[in-house]
Amino acid sequence: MRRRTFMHLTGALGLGWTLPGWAAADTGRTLVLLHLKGANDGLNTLIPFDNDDYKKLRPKIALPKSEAIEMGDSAVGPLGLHQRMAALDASFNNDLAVLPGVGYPSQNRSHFKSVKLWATGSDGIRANRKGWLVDAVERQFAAESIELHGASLDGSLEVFRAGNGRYLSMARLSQLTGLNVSKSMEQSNGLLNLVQNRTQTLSETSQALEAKLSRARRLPVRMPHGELSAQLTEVIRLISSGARVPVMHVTLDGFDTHEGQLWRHPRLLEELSESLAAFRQNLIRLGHWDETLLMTYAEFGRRAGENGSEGTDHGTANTHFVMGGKVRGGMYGEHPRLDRLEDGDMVHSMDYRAIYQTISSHWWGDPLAWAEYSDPRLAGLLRV
Amino acid sequence: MWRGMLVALFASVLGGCQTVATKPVQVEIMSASDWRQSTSAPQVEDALLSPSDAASFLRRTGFEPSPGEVMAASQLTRHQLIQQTLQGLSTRPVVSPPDWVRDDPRYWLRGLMDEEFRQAFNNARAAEVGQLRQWWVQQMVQTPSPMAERLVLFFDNRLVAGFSGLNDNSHALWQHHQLIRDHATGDYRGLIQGLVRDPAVLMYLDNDRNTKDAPNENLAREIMELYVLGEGNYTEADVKQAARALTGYGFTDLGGTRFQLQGWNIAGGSKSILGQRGQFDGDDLPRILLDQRAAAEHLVRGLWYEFVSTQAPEPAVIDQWTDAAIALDYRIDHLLDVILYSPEFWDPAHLGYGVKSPVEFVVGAVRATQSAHLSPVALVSAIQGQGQNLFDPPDVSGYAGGVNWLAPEFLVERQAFARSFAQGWMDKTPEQNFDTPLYLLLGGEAYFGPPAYEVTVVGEHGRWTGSASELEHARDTERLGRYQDDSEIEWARIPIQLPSHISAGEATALEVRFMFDAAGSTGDRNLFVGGAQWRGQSFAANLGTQTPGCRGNSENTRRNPGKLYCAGTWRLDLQAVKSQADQVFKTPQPVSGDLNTRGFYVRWANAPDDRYRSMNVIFDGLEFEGREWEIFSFKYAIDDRGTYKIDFTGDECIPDCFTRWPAKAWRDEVGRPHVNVPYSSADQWAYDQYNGLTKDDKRLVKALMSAIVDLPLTSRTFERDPAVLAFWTETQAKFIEKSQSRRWRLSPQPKVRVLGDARQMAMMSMGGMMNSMQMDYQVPAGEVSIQQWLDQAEPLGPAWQWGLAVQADASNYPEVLQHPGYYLR
Repeated sequence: MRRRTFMHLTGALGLGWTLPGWAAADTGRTLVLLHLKGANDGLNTLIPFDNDDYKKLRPKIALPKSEAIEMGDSAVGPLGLHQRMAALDASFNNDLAVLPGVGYPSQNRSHFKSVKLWATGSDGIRANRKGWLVDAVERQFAAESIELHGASLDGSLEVFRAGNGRYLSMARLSQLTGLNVSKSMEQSNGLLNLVQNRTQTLSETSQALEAKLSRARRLPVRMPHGELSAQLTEVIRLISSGARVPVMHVTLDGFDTHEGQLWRHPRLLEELSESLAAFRQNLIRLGHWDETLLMTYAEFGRRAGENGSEGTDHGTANTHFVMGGKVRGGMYGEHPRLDRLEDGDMVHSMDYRAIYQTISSHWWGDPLAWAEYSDPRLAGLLRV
Repeated sequence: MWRGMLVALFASVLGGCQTVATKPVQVEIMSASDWRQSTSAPQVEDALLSPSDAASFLRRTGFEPSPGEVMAASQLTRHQLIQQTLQGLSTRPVVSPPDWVRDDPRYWLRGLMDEEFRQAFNNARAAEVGQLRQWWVQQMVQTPSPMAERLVLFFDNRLVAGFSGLNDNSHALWQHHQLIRDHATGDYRGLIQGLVRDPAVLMYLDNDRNTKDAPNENLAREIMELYVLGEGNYTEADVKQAARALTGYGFTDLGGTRFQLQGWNIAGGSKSILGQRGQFDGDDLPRILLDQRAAAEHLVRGLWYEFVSTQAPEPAVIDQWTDAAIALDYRIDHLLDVILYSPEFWDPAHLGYGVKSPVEFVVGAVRATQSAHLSPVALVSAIQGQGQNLFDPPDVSGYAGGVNWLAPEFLVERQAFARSFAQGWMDKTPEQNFDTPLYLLLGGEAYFGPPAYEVTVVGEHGRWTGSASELEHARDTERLGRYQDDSEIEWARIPIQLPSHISAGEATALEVRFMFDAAGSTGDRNLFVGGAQWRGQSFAANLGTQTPGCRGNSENTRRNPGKLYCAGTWRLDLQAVKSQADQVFKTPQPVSGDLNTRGFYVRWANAPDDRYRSMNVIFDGLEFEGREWEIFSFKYAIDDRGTYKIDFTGDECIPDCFTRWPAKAWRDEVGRPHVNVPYSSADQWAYDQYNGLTKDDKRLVKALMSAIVDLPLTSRTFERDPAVLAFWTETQAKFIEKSQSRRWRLSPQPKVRVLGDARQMAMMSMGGMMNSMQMDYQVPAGEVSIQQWLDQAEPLGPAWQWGLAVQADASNYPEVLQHPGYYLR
């Protein structure tokens, strides 16, 4: 009988959490990753409304000045956030950083592939095996000191898939109640082992979480309707309960706007902004905003030019957001030039791993991680 | 060294030409048995099957077997069981599909009608998909060929065209499913060939918007990456070129949603795809892809993970099977023969290394126990809860499957289902049947408990209100989150028990009251009424009203009266609706010599500053002088020289617009004939076109030229741009004036006669799907009692031996059913 490798199964929801820990003291900080699934259209989010190339590239879907909240000048002229993001106005130039032109070399345009590259800190040329998050968080936090290494509130373990620590994905926290634990016994079947280990972790975790969640405080500010908001609600509950989950993952889906973008996209930006604004308000009132850092990511950007369906196809560089009590608001980096497209695409002006470097170094105090991508323009992003 | 650099440079410059040109090698098409004899690859020894072997084969190739199935299979040898399984492969439905799949609800009407109509229309379509999920689950429960259904599931998850990307077109979804069903057990080439003309695929991957001037690469990319080749087996240049080949492959909703080659969008010229060069179009693409060895390998790998193991295969096995797939010319049943005869399939190292998908898990439990104690809607809800929404995977890559089904949040739901299923099976009591004239179509969301409701019947005996009931199958939003889309709502047709004096009498109104609303930041309790059926007559919820409805949400309440998001009452005034129906369906008599139709509409009109200004109009059914059309569409136009004319195009009528198109009709690049008839100052060219028509067709053209006087300019196309409406209002008057010319007048002058109100008729008939929800639910070989089941299972030995893919301690079948090993195959 041939022996088969089973590496891909030992991943998420790990089998052992005996990691060599140089783990520093837990700072109580939480990183929230927000996936703008489908890939948000950066050019109609941070709008270069006065730029002639922009108007030429997008004769039907370019947005005028009146649709933008002015943010400042740049190499491509004045930039403004979409007016349907007005709910975030308290954060502008305060605790919301806007990063235009984020990307990586040799863009992969497959949703599924590219999101995996982001999860592992890879690019179109070089692929890493380990997840950037799981690596960092498992080095940073000894399992005994926390409830979970990471939790995904959108029911997908994707970003934690390569991890060996304790991770959990769920649609709602209440899913965990009433769990049956079958006693773990030695099994020769790896899948069965996986199921039993998972069940055990789930049950231990749920007991620990249940105890803490019973102490979670009421949300001071009403959250809006919507799936992202529901996920963020659970994030707030976890944070305010005192349960330690250093990384959480949430998703807003629907950004793959190949057509009909003019009516689809603004609704998404509005949901995004209103949910984030309420999220921020709650954490400020609960006194946890300074320990919370949220960053958006997406598979890629969208093409600079519109397609024939009043939409945009898969492109390259994109605008992203970093938000939190310790964030110095404002614009970081340069917006890609629209008169120097490559094959119809914007050329990224900041490597996304520079953000990973900043977070690793300044949020988690791990200066060595991603050091080669360190970008001086992000040096002041976090006030820590 | 220098030479190498040069080659590398060329390769990078030429992009697509890096691919080695694999000219189609002519291989002789073999049968599986020929192939097995010709190959040096080993095949499995024939041997008798133990109950455990037999069960394992049935579980891996189909669903969890019942004791009867295991017993029958264990009388055979391995080879006999393989042959019996393959010879019996059939995807032909044993449960007849719902009636609506044969109707055409006329999707194009949505573009013309108001928001309220579109909402009701789309709700009806979404409900149909919910019904389709229940139909498919029943089909899987009842099929005598479980492997065929597994193949349909396999391809459905691989050639994804999910309903949420189909613009609420349930009929396109059904066609897509039929394409898969027709080919899943045989002709893979035909299946891939069919994809490029499948309206659902063209919609889902935006190819209806892929034109020569504005390419959209979505379909080209996904057909390579996900459907046929797999990532890494093509270049970006191949994607771009394939997208050009696919230009013009679109669809139309006229006469039912169907493929349409849109010649005006086609990018001509030579294309270079995967090393082949030629004047390729979309129909060439499948062959070009299947000429690649990678295509065979992609298919074979998929089948490995589906039917053998989640453990990675040895490269040599994939090589052999890829050779086989090519030699067998992609015939699935022959390829399966090779796979099932391989020693790898029977290798004990792979047993228990597959993960049942939620649908396999749930359907398997029903088939194995032969117990119908859960209704189809409950089965579908359980499958959804465990993470699988049939007909609508989260994205084009489908569900990742395998170990991903064991993600914590799904694991929790799987465990809960197994527990309650086993309990329900042990406790089951025979269902009571009762006769009732009243059925409700209900769905809902639970939050700290399911929604409760009470039903009131108002009739000649006064007002009767039943006791409160709870909607058992409502989605638990506390655990699972809310329905993300209306199409996810599962509808159950629920009989309402009435006292005899009520059920004997006539009803004048029906009410459903949603009693206790509940909501929190993580969930919501809601009740959805899809419709009601009284004495066999169905009424969609949109015919009723909602009171009081949620505050500040009167718009939604008006458009979707059946969606009770807050405590309130849905009321159907039966008397009023019936008399309205009598009114609406009392079709006025057609008038001989007139243009008789269900409706005459503007489909679209372009802007006054276009060079060729035209207004596309359509008759929804047309009768004129004894001739009939399902669709008759044409244009009123003003050409760039300012000539007013009427403009006919070959494919815009069903059946053909004219008895015979004139020889002088001009033909466009796709060969469609066009006839233009100017209202005045005909040049010779146009005059010849008109003259070439038959006498009857000339009379038709004359009638249509003056029909513009009866054309209402009320279409949605005008809502978007008042300038367009202003222009065409003015222009219509000029057309009318010109149509008065003696030359075009018929005597007596035909009028457009609209028979009935198409909008009202459509609104009234949208509850029709309820009629086809009366499917009888059965389990194969009939439902058995616990005792009968135990008697059948007894000779097979202890349940854990044949009932699980892994060794485990479980003393009886209910324990087996709840063991984690039951998740595996």
